[in-house]
Amino acid sequence: MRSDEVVPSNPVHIVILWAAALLVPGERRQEWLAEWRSELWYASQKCSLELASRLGGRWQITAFCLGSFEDALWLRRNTPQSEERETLHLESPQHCMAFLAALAGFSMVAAFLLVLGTRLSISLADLYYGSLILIMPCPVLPAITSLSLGEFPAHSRLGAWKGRLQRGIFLTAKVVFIMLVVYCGMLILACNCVTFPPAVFLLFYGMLGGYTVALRWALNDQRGRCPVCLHLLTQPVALGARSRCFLGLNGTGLMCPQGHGFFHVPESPTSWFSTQRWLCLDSSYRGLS
Amino acid sequence: MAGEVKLSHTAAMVLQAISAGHIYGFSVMEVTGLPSGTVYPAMRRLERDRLILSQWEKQSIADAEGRPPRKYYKLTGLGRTTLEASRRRYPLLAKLVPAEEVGTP
Repeated sequence: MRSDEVVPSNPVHIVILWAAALLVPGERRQEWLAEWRSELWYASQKCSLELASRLGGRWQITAFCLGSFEDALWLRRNTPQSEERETLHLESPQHCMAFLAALAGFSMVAAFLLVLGTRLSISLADLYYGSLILIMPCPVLPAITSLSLGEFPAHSRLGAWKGRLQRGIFLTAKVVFIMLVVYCGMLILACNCVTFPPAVFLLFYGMLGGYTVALRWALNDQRGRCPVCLHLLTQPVALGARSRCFLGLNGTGLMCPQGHGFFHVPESPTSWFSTQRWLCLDSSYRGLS
Repeated sequence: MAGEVKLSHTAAMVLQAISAGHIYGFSVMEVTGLPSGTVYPAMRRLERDRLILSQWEKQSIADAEGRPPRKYYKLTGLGRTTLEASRRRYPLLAKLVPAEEVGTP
């Protein structure tokens, strides 16, 4: 049978497969999509050969394509998480900074072009007061987000002013970049919703929520990094038992990929272990990493 | 048998269908009557457990017949052993998925 005798694939079916493919881990996506497109070709052929009614046949093929989401979700759930994380390359502080800076730069350019394109009559005063409204949620943040970064024992490597300065600069830069992204995103939304009055309130609460999520991410990311080299900690291991929370440790242990130390994160605060705690290792442990 | 893989009825049906010669996804769907959202994840699980192996058809063969290449599946040794055990567990399996119509071109 020649291929041109077959009913051509509906664009909707192709879009469904593409949407499902976004759920598939990157390294398997191409082959997965090739298999599903091939199967779609045979499903379309079968429906045309069976002289099914046009609507019924198309619905059968659509139902066939919708099954691809379950397949894609199965693949996503059963692919090791480390493989996914490697695609973003945020383990090292340099890569993390470069990614956030690029994202912030892109957001700023997009917001600037949009403001320039849609609000040519905008005055500096409008921009000033608008920015004030958008920045207003900032003072609320410390009240609704935990700022604790965990306990770090006095140690020569951690206590040095250079190390503390490095950690502080990294955290500050992360917060600035990620908030800039949220700010520009909300500015873009504001430009598009300027004619809809309730949108101002929605944007205000959206900004508050966006800032909160952004700051929490920055702090959680900082907690999950080695305080010496600022690389993301790896190899999480569950420690203790949930039922023994009085004098036993119940939490997760993580390790610096370069062997600088262990990080214990308690599942719930206990009398002797209330917050995250860093355990420094000397150079004799480097061989473990 | 020690260490024997125990399959659900659905997975056993898919394995039986592949054993019966329905060796690509859509063919397995047709013969078992199961939806695509069940068949394809089941085949991924079977492949992960090394009960079946997949292999792409050669592009030249598909081009000669004017169709896209298929991804074919076949049973491994462990798959055959597991299927025998599943047939004992589900006696109607062979009747549910007959081997007459073979999906290979």
